[in-house]
Amino acid sequence: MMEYVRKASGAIEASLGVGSSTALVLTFLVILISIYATLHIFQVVSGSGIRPRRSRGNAALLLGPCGSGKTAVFFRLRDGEEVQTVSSLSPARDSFEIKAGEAPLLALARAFLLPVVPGCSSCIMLPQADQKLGPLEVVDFPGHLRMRGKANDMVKEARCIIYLVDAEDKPKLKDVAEHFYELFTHPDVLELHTPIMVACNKSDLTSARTEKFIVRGLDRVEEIEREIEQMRVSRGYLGVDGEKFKLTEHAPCPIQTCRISAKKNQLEPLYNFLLEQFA
Amino acid sequence: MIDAFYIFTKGGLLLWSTQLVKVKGNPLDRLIKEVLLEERVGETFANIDAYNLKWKLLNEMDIFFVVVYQGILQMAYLEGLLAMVAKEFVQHVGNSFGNGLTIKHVDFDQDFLRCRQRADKDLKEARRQGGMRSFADTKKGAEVQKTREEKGLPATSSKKGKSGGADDKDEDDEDDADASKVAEARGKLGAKSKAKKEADPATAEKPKKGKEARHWDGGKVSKSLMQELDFSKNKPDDDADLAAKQAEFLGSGDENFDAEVESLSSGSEDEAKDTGEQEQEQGRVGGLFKSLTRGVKNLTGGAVLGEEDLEPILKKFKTELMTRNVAAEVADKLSDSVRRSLVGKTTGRFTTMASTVKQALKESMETLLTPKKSIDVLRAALAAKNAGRVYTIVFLGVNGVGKSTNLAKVAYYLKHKGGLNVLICACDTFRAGAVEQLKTHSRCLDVPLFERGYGKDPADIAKNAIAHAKSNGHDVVLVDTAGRMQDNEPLMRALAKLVAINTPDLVLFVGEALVGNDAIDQVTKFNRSLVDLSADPRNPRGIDGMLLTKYDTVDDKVGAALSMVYVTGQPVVFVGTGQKYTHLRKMQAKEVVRTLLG
Ligand SMILES: Nc1nc2c(ncn2[C@@H]2O[C@H](COP(=O)(O)OP(=O)(O)OP(=O)(O)O)[C@@H](O)[C@H]2O)c(=O)[nH]1
Ligand SMILES: [Mg+2]
Repeated sequence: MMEYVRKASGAIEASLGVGSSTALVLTFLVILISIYATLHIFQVVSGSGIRPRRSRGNAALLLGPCGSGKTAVFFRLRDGEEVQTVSSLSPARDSFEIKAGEAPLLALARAFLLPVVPGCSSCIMLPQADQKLGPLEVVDFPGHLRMRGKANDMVKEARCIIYLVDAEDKPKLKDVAEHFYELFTHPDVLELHTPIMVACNKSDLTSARTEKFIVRGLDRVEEIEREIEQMRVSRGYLGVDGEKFKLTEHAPCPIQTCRISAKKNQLEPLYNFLLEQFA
Repeated sequence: MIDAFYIFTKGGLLLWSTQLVKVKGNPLDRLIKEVLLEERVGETFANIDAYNLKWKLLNEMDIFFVVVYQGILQMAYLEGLLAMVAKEFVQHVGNSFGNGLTIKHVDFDQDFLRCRQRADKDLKEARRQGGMRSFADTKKGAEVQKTREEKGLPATSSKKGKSGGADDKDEDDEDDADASKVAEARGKLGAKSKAKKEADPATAEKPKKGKEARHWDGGKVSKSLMQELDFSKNKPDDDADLAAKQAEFLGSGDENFDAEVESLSSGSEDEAKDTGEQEQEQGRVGGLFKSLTRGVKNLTGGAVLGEEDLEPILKKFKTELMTRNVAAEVADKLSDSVRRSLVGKTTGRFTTMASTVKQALKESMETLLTPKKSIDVLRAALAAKNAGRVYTIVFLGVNGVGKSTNLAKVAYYLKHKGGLNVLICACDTFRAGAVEQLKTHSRCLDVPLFERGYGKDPADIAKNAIAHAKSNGHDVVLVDTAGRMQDNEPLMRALAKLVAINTPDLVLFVGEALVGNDAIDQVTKFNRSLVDLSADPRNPRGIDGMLLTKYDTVDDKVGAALSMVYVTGQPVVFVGTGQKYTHLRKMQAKEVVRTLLG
């Protein structure tokens, strides 16, 4: 390599009549520029439809409104630790291994998943304690409405989406429904059928009333569905005419629902979901 | 003294915080959501609830340092403290900080204490050296004093500088240039002219008041004048005329209305164009030899962005934005914000500085144009209907911008898309022919009109219309108001009254997207007047959204949209794109940004 550079610079030196150091620099420049150009061309070529069919990305994308606990879940998944957070201003993304068995056994025993989809495999599957996953890329995307556009752009990079909802924050459900509507009519979701796990977070806050608790989780999903139902009129067609909108049936992509708690580190449904998606 | 201090990452980790005094509410959360996330990073000071917040962003590490305090503190002191803490913090975490995800909490109590003590000492030192300088003695204080006197406000007594009482906040704002910037951005762009007016509203207004104005304020209009105005009486309906009008507004029927209004968020179609796009390096060859490594790095990426690198690039973009009708102040603010968010950053692999800047600018503008709340009027109206409420929209703006025409378009949209039962309410009780214009639309649209002729109090008419709608099963009331100049205080007061009395669901400002148009000034002042003249000052009601008319005539000069969103913080709900009822669209943030950045 150096040999070649020296030879080339010699040639430049001779032909242009410049000093040898300048010539050397020039040669380096030429090389750099050509590398740059090659890469550039490569980028353009690979970006312009030579790829056969678009496929999903490779990241697990955390979405959901402000304060639903995305950042909390992100660090729980990564380090198993609890962190202090403020509202995120930009995405946090990292590749890491997920060890599904880290959660306390007691938590494992409890079945958190709402059996909304009969026969949904992850509902019954309990994670093996030693099962490892990844490393896989997880992205925590800020929930602020102003970032919505960018969040939707991220969909094409996602293998699957974990959509967090604060089970206690009822007023936000309108926003959630609106976001689902955007996602369900988003060209990327329509084309890629990106699977979504709707996870009702902060279930620890209502855990005292165990029986009611499950009903409440369902409540939230139903509430979202009611809101979507309303939007079908204002925004046009989604779902099946004459039928009430059901998330798990009428969405253009596979949807599951579950309850979790980042605070209590009860995230088994998410581990299972990720295992399923990244198997 | 200071109340609290926070250190957090852009990614949402609170690395360290302290509350010296218990902070009420959550001013930090509001700062993040209402200022930092709103592309207003160009600023470094905000006033939230009872607190003042000053912050510093460390771009290299994406960390924010925020100090929260009440009353007055010298900006120099705060800036000193922030700088010291930032420096100390960087030393404390050292190289281990990495991508900002490894360190989740920092034990910083001791370090912070040291910083604070040092800052306090510096402050005392400065005080002693300069003698005991009270606020009015400082240079800035003197300036404030002067402007206050000019404004005819009572001069501040010089002892105020010492105690940080709540009512001193005012001076503090003025003391800080940044503070006024914040205020300016949120609807005080016309602050200068406003200040002038404030000096003596009475004298400022009176001489301008011509004969015309008198019809207005008292609401007393002579009978003869009313007859003159009400020319509908001597103009019998003409069915042929109606048919012609209908054809004019409805078009030949081949227009696909749904396709036009329903330009959903499918902005990603053209995305390929965007992503493949790379900035061409222009005029950089000259600098290549001068600063070889720098140039190469710029070409291959990995260059650290400095103030001096960004300046020329930003300037170029700023000019470009301004040629596309973005207001100069807004272009300035945006580029400030982008500069602040980029200085100290390293360019990505194989990205030039120009493309880095462009990308940042693009994202910044897209964020800005993405509404922070739902602007689905139809959905809101349907929800109101389900809840058994009448949904009310008030249309306001200056004369001749197309208020009535676009009101008719919205009526058409709500009626045909949502199957809603709409009532139009004629509250322009002043301009001759205004009611007739609405009558024509009412007939073409087959939507009833609620009118009380001319000369009555518009606020009352609107109230009656809403009551009428309730008892007659109408779902939506669209209130047309008289066009007025934004500086006309009596008229603005009347408008504020209309809004206060009727508490509409949506206050929609109608403005032109035209070039060289003072739509920014208009919307700023309309908003300000509504807020200032609100019946309930604790809960002021400004503009909720905008409708931009004549959008079809501006080609690539769509800058008005960006400017108006920036100054009001409110979204563009619709754009009008022609004369027909179907010429109403939702604005696409991506489309606007693409047009603006060429
Ligand atoms: N009780 C309870 N609180 C939780 C749980 N998960 C998160 N939180 C709290 O909810 C708040 C918000 O959590 P974040 O992780 O910052 O929320 P986010 O989704 O990242 O929000 P943005 O960044 O604004 O989009 C924090 O105070 C968390 O401590 C949970 O499972 N239970
Ligand atoms: Mg977050």
